[in-house]
Amino acid sequence: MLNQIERAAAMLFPDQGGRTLNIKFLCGGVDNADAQTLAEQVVRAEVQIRAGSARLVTDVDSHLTPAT
Amino acid sequence: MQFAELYSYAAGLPKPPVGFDFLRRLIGARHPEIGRVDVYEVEYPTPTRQAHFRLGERDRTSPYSDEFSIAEIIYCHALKADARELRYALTKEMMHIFDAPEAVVDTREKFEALLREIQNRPLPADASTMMQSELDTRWMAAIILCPKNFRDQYVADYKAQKIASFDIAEIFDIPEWVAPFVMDDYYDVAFTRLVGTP
Repeated sequence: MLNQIERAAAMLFPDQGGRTLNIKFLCGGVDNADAQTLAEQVVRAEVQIRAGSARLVTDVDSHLTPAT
Repeated sequence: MQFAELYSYAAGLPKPPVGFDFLRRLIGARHPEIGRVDVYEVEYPTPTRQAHFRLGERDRTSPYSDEFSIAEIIYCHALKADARELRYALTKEMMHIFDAPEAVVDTREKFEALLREIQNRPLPADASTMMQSELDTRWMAAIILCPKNFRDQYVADYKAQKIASFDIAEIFDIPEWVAPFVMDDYYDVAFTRLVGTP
């Protein structure tokens, strides 16, 4: 069984196709981010995006536009 | 496209705030290597305020797709509880499209090393360029959301305590905790380093 770091690395850097060219993390307000947890979040995110269950957000600034 | 070019569009707006969607559309239209910037909201069992940036090759359906990459910013749904926090976080992550070649994480080995660095929080002298890019993007986001021509109009009143951080947060639509360092004199140092001499 792969650990989450190995699983995330395999998803992001497959031997063929779909390679990641850069990845970075924002750990807002977290002083105790551990590597396994971060890797697990990457895996969960990749699973949700590939399954189509992640929400594609097309309007981040909607709150700036007053409702009419 | 360099950071300074993207900044020039933000500074050229009639007034703040600078929209995240405005910036990402510009990147998609003007950056020769970035086709578009996608934002995904995902769910974690334990809500966090975390996000990550991924530049990659997910889409390969277009005959022209070899010409550009897709930038993705993926955030935990809990971040949207505060719209300003979300905007700043997404903008900061988007600034990683300007990472220097030595700062990019493009192999399994670098990825695993970066995870260990985030976990271990090394002393500044031991931090890799991959880790140092986090500070660069913190300032890039602050500068592009608070362009100097607009920000400078409020510095005197802020220093004289005629206006407070919450006023700055309101004007620029940024988290309140960002205002003190945006209004500090170090802004000019960071500006010169990232954008150039005013």
